[in-house]
Amino acid sequence: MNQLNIRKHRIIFFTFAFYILILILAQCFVSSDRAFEVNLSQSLEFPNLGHWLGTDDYGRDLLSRVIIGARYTLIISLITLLVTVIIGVPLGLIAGYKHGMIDTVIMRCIDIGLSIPEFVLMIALASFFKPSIWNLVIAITIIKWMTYTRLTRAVVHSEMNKPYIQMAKLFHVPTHIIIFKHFLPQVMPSIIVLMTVDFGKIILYISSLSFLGLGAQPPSPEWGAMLNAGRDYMTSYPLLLIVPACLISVTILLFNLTGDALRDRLLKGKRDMDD
Amino acid sequence: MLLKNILSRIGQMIIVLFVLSTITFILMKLTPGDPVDKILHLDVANVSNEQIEATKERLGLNQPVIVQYIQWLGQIAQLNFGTSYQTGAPVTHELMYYTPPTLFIAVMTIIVVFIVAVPLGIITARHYHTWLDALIRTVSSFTVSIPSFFLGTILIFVFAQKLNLLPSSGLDSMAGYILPIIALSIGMSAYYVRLMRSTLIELYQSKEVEAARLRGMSERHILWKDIFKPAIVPVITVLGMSVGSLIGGTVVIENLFGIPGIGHFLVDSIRARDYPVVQGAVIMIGVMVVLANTLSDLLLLWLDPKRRQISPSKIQKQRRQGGETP
Repeated sequence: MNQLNIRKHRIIFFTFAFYILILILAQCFVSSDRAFEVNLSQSLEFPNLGHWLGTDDYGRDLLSRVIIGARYTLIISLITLLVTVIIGVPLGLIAGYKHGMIDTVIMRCIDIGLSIPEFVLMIALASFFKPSIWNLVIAITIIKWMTYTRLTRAVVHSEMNKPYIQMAKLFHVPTHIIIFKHFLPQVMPSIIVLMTVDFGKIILYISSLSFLGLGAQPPSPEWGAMLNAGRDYMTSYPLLLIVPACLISVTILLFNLTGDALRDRLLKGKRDMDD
Repeated sequence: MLLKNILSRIGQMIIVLFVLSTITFILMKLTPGDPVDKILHLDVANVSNEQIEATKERLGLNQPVIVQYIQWLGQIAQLNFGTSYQTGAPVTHELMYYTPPTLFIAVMTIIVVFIVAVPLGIITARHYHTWLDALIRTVSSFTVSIPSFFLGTILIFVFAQKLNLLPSSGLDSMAGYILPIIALSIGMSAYYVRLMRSTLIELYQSKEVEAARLRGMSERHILWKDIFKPAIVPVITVLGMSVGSLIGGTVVIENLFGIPGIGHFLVDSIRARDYPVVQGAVIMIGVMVVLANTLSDLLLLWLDPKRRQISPSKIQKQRRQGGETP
C-alpha cells in the first residue's frame, strides 16, 4: 500500500461523505409541496431564480423533486440492504458454525438460487404482484441474501480451525459469545465492502425496474421513475432526463469507488473471501 | 472426467430450469385474481356460471394444485406454455417470434465487448503505469457506473435526434440494432478492460514470462503464444456468468429502443397481466442464460486443460469465486 493509494482513498472517502452530507442537508431546504404540487401554469420552465433547475411537465420544481427523490432511492436501497444483511449474515453464521444438515440445506438452496439469473428472477418476482416499490424491496431481498450468507459462512469456515476459536471452545465459552465476539468482527469487514458495492447495484436495480414501470409509480419522485417520465421530453426539454440520470450515475460511481477503496483498506492481505 | 463434467453441467441445467419453472408456477398461483376473469373478460362481459365452470374444466383449474402442477410441468417439458390471454396465440409461437432479436443483440454485444475490451486490455497492460493506462482506466471506471438506459437515452438524443443518423426505435432495418448494441457494450467493455488488464499484468510478472524473455523471445511472441490463452480464460469465465445480467440489460434496452424482443414482450405482458406469456418468457430467458453458462463452461474446458483434471464440484466452486459480475 503506497502513499499515493492512501491519498487517493482519502479523496474518495471524503468526496463520498461530502456527497451524502449534501444530500442529507438538502432535505432540510426543500418542502415536499414544491415537489408534488401540480401547477400547470408553470410547466416546463427553464432554470430561473425561483426554480433553480426549472420545472417539469406538471410545473413541479425539478430540484425539489430530485432531492426528495434521494429519500426514495437511497432510503429504499438502504432498507433493502439492511434487511438483506439481517437475514443473510445470521444464516451464514449458523451455517458456518453448525456443520451437517442445516449447513447442507442452506448451501444447496443457495447454490440453486444463485444459478438463476438475478435480474430475470427479480422481474418475475416484481411482476406477479401489483407494481410498487415495496415489492421491489422484497424481490431484491429474496435474491441478495444468498451472497451474504455464503460470504459469512466462508469467513466463519476459514476462522473455525484457528487456535483462538479452538481455545474458546475448549474453555466452554458460550456459543453466542463465540459467534458475536469472535466471528462477527471477522465477518464485518467483508460484509461492509460487499454492502458498499451492492448499494450501487441495488440503486441500479431499483431505478431500472422503476424505469420499466415495475417499481415506483409516476407521481413519486424516485429517480428511475422520474427518468421514465422525462423520456417524452427528450428533445423539447432534456433537463428532465439529464438531472435524474446524472444523479443515478454519480451515486453509483461514488458507491463503486468507495467500495473498491474500502476493499483495498479493509481486506488488505486477505484472500478474496467469496466461498 | 470430461464426460462427467459435461453430464454434471447438463444435470445442473435441468435442476435450475426445474426450480425456475416451479417458482413461476408458485408465483402464478399466489397472484391475486382468477385467470378465468381474464380469459372471459368477466369485468365487462356478462358470462353465465356454466361457461365459467366449463372454462375452468378446460384449463384444469378444478383439480387440486398439485395435480395442476404436475400437468403443468408435463406441458413445459413439451415446450407448451399455454395460450396468451391477450392474443389467444400459443405462447411458444410468440416466443419464437420475439426471441431472435434478443439473441442477436446479446450475441453481438458479447462480440463487440470482445473486440473492444481485449485490445484495450492488452494496450493498458503493455503501457502499465503510463498516461495511456491511466486514461483508459479512468474512462472505464466512469463508464462502468453509467446505467445502460442512461447511455441509451444519450445515444438516442445524439445520433437519432440531433444528427439524424440512426433510427431511434424499432427494427425497420439492421441499423436499428446499432444503438442498442453500443449502449449495452460500453458499460460491459469497461469491466472487461479492467479484468483483462489485471490478469495480463499478473501474467507479465510471472516466472514463465521472465523465462521466455531470458530466452530472447520477442514481446509479441510472448503475448500471443504464451499468455494470451490464459489471459482470456477469466474473461470467458466472467462473460459466462454475466450473461444473466446482460439479458437483464437487454430487457431495459429493448424497452427503451422499442425493439420487439423478448424483454419488451415480457414487460408488455406484465403490464397486461398476461401470465402464461410472463411464465413462458421468464423460462425462455432462463433457458438462454443457462445454455450460455454451459457453453462458456465447455469453452473453458477446451481452453484451459487444467480444468479437465479437476472434479465438477471444484469447478463450480471456482465459478462462484469469480466474484461479482458486472
